[in-house]
Amino acid sequence: MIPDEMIPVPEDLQERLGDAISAAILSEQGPDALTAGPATARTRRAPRWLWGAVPAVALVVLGCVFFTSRPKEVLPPEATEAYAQVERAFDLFSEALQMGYDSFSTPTQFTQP
Amino acid sequence: MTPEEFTSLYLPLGDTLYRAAFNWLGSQQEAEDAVQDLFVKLWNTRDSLESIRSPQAWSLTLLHNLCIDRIRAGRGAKRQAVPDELADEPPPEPPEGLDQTLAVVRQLSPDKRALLRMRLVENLSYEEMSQRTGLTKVALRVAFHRLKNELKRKI
Repeated sequence: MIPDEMIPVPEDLQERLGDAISAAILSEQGPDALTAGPATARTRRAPRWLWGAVPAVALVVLGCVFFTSRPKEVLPPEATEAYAQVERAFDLFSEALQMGYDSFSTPTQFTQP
Repeated sequence: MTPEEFTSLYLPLGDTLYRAAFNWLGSQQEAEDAVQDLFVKLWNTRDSLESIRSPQAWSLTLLHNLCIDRIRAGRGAKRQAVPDELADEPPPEPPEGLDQTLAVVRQLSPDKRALLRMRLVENLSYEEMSQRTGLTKVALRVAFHRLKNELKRKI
């Protein structure tokens, strides 16, 4: 048995092994494996449709959150009170208008002299 | 086992395995062929290699079997007695169409073979290949497209 150190390893051995594995992959997957991308990526890249699907889902979720949320009560008590007063005044005003309209729309009884 | 794990765990064993094969077979050409056959066999069974604790011991065992088959077939320069525990093992079957594909690969220019290895064996991205070769990603894509067409015609 020759000691291992005495045996010269061909310089192109690694290349030859790489070529053999390349041939094994090509015979297994065909030439399309060349342009299929890494990982071959059997493993690594997310499918292309995912790049469109993720923003679409995010938009739908944001839309749902936006439309179902209720505005917060941010008005101070004074503003709320002022708003209530304006509302009451408007009610009175519209009531008065209605009364005036009713009084004008009532047929007037004219008496002959 | 991923291609990256395979290349990092098994490809560095090439020199050691070659020396062992040379010791068993006594011929440079036979040893190279045996190691090459071994790596193809390992690659084709890479999914089951994850359970192997010692890649080197496993590779040496398989290589020993392959060398014995070569000796049996009369291709080895050295004649050795076949150990009993290996005597009944069937010879490994070569993958279908592999020889033809390998012949086509070997006919390619060194640059094209290097591209093949980077893409298929090392599993590099275009970005990584661009950094290594100095070529642009577009040039690499064009080169791979042409190489793919060439291989489609020949395989």
